[in-house]
Amino acid sequence: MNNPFKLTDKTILVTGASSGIGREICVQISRMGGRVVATGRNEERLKETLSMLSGVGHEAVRADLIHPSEMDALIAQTLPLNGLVHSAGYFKLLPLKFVSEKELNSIFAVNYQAAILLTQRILFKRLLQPGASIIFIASIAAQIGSKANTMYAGTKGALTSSARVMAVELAPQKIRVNCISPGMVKTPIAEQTTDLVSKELVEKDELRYPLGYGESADVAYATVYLLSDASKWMTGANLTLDGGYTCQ
Amino acid sequence: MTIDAFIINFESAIEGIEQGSVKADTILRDLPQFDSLATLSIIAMIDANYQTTINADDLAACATIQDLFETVKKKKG
Repeated sequence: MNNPFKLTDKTILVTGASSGIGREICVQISRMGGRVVATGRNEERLKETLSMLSGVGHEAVRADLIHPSEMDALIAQTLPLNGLVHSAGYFKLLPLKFVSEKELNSIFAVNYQAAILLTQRILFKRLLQPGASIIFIASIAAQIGSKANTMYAGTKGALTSSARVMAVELAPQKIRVNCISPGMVKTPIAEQTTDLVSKELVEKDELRYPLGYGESADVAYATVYLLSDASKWMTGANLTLDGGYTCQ
Repeated sequence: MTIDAFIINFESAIEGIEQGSVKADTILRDLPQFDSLATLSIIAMIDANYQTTINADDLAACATIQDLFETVKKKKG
């Protein structure tokens, strides 16, 4: 009996796979029978991710997606894909008074441009199979006004807007495009924020989440659903996954 | 880097602080404007003006503006 939630015989490229949410997404894909192509900037940590996967046939390809030559090298090695997950990105708080062109260009290059251009290149090379699923890991930051978050929220808002366009443009090829918007998830990025902002403030913030902060696995499970045939009618959607934060 | 210039930069970074109201011996936590946004603004100001990174723990260890100035000076090297 075919379980529509499984990822058997599907090959999925995951960016940002060296750590955090991206890594956990690779793990859960492998547990559901999918074949993972993991990419990230850190060779060591990519290897670690690989070692955590179930089953065989997975690959790790090191690439810094802001460099066109590295992106091209990654794509040259990529086989036909049934899924593409954009989990690469970084977070930086800067009060508006301190936002600069340099900082904006940098965060947009990674969080937005690299994701769009990678998708474009993969499409151009016709590497996406019919019925493929593209997922952008966005953030609730795109929907709420939280201090010092001008840049990051901008990048995530840009992703969710573009994803809706892609959903419509690629529907004729039966390629689906969706976003997941997590709230605060316990990952290295979140730890970095704690260092910056103080433990007390973070603890206070977590109390504002009805179900507390999330875990990478929570985002990974939603990703698995969107990659699977179970979500074949879902496109142009943005799944809010935030322990109830934005529903208050 | 001088303490006077540092104080001016500090005052400009945080909303609601009047120029000339802060002194070297002002206790950071006594400033009513010292909220989480102020913390981030101070960190960003120090990064922008002094090319030095300090974090929340560094800030927590400083009582006065002078302490903060010394911390930045030491980190900057």
